[in-house]
Amino acid sequence: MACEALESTSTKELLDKKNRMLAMIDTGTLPDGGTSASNLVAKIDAELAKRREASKEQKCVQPGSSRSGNRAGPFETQGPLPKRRPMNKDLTQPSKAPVKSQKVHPCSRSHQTGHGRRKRCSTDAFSFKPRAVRLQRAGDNQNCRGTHNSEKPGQVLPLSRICTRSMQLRISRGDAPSETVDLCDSDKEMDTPCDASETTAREVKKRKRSWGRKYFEEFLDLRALYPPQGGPGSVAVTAEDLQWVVRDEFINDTLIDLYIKHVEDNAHSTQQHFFRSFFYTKLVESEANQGVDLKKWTKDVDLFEKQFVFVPVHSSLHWSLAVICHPGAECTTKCKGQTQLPCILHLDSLQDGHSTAEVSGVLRRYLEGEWERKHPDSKKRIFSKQTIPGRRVDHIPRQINSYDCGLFMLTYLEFFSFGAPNIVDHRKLGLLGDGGFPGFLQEGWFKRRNASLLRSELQNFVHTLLAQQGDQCHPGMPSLRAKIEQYEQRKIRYASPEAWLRGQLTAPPTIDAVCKDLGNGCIAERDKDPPESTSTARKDDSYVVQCSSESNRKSDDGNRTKRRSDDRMHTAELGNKDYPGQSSCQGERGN
Amino acid sequence: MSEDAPADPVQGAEATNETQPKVEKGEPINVVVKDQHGIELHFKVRKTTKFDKIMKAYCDKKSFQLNQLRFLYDGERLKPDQSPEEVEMEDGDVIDCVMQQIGGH
Repeated sequence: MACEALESTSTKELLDKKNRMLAMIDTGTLPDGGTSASNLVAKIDAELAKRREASKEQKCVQPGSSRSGNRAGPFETQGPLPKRRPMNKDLTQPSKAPVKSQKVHPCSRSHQTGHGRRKRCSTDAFSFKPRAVRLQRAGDNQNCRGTHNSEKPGQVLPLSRICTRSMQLRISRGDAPSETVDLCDSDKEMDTPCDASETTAREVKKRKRSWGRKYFEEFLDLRALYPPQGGPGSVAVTAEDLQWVVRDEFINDTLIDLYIKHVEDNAHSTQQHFFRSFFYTKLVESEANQGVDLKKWTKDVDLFEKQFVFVPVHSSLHWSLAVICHPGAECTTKCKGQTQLPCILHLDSLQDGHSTAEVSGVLRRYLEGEWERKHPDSKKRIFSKQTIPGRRVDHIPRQINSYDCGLFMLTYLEFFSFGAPNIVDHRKLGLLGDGGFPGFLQEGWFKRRNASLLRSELQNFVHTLLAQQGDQCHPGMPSLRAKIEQYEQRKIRYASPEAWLRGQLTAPPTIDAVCKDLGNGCIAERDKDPPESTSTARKDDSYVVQCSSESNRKSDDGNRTKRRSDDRMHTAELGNKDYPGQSSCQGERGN
Repeated sequence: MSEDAPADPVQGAEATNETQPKVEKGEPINVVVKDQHGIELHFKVRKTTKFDKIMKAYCDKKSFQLNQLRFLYDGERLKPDQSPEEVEMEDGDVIDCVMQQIGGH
C-alpha cells in the first residue's frame, strides 16, 4: 500500500523517487497534467520532514522494540485514554499478548514511523464519534483500501483515514463486544445501553443540573396541549418552554397564555374576558401599521357585555396587567349616581414599569374602534380620560427582584378574576368593598412570596401536562414523574386565591394581639368589619391601611430583606405566620 | 406563487369568502405569513397540509428557530399538527408571525 510503501522505503530511495517525479512533471507529458505526481511529491516531502523530526527528537521507537513501556507514556498523557483501553484490547488480535496489546494503539504501524504522526493518529482515532461516525468511516475505509490496493498514483490519503483504516482492519478481524462501552462513554447521545456504573454517573450529573436552565433537554420532543381536547384558546406547550420557568428566568408568552387559559377555565364568572399575551403587542402594532387588523380577535365576543377584560401588557421585557372594568357601562353627566363606572386599572409589579397613561390610551382607542364595530347602530361613545379613566393601582404586592414580573402579572390576574367584587370603583381603590376578596387590590392582597411560588407551580403544571400527554416511552419520563412527585410532597406551594382565602379564614388570631398592642386605631377599624367572614384578613388589611402607612418606608425596608431571604430559601410556610400585614405590624411595633 | 393571493390579504380577507369560489378539500390555497414588520411571505399549501410544514419552511426561510416564533390566526395560536382546514382558513388568509415574548423586570 502506498502509505506503507513510503514508510518502508529508505530515505535515499524516497529522494530518488521525488527527483524522478519532479522530472516527470517538468516534461509535462503526464495525463493529468502532473497533479497526481505533485501530490506524491508532497507526500514524500511530508514523509521526509517527519523522518527528520523524528531523528532530531531521538525518541522514535524502532520497530520491534518493546512497545509497552515506550508507548504508555505519550498515550496516558491523553486524558480519556485509560477508559478506552478495552476497545484497543478487543481490537487487537487475540493471538498477541493481551497485556501488551492493550497499549498498542490502533495506528501502531503509523507510530513506528515517528512521533508526529503518532500524535495525530491517536487524536484522530480517539476523538471519533462512536457509532455514526464509525459507520461512515467504515465506508471511507473501503475507499481507502480500494485506492491503496489499486495503487492509484498520487492519491493522497489523509492521515485520519489511514488511522481509522487500520483500526477498521482490526475490528473486522475480531469481534468487538465491549466497544459499545467505550463509545458510550465518549458520546452521551448513544442509545446503546451502558453499563450500570456509567448510567449512575450520568444520572448524577444530570441530577446536578436538573434545575438549571438546560434541564429541559432531558425532556426534548415532549409536547402537550392544554386543554388536552384543544379548542379556542388552547395552548401547545413543549419541553423547551420549561427553560423559561426555571429559577430567575423570565417567563415567556406560552407559559403566560397557558396559565391564563387555566385561570379562564376556572373562572367562576362568564363576565370576564381574557386576552392573550400577544394582544397588546399586536394592538400597538396596529396603531403604527394600518395593515394589522384585530377585529377577528374578538369575533365571538362582545367586550361590552363583560364586567372585566384582562389585557396582559408586554413591552420592554416586562409584563404588567391592565384590567378594563365595566367597559359596557357608560358614564353620563360626570358619572353621578352611577354604580358601575368604566375604568382601566393598571397593575404593574414595578414602580417604573409600563406607563399607565400609554397603556390606557392604547386601550381606549381600541375600545372606541371596537364599539363602532360591535355596535354600529348605537350612539357613538367617547372613550376619553374622563369617561374611562386609567388608574395605576399603587398599593399592591410588588416584585422585589428583576425576574418575577410575569408571575406577579399572573397572580394579579388570578386573584382579580377570583376575588373581584361585582363593582370595582376606581375612586375607592384600597378600600374594602363589600363581599370582595380580603385585601383586594391592597398590599395584603397576597404575599409576594406566593407570586414567586407560582414559578414552581407553573413548572409543575407543565411537567404534569407533558407527563400526561407525552410519549410514555420517552427516556425522560421517569425523571419527569419523579419531579412531579417531588413537587407534590412540597409543603410550601403556591396558594391559589381559594386556598389563600381558606388560609386567611383559619389564621391564628395572633394579629389581634399585635393590633391591640398598637393602639386603638387598628381596633377601631377592625370593629367596623363585619364579623367572622374573612375576619382575620380584614383586620389585618385594615391594619395595613391604617398602620403601615405611618411608617411605610421603615417597615417595608425591614421586611424586604426578610422576605427576600424567605423567597429564596422557601423555608417558611404559606399561611399567616408572616404575611405582609403582620410583618408591617411587627415592624411598626419594633419602631 | 403569490399571484392568486389578493393584493392586500388582510383587508381582502372578508371579501375573499364571498367573491372567490369555494376551494375544494385538498386543493391548494394561498396562505400569507406576515411578520411584525409587515413583511409577507406567501405559501401555497393544500388545505390538509399541517401547519408544521409552513412553520418549518418559514423558519428556514427567515433563519429562525421554530421555538422562537408564534403563529397566530385570528388571535389563536396555531399548533403544528393543525391544518388550514381545521381552523377554517380561506384562500389568502393571513397568519401573524410574532416573536416569542419574555419578560421579567
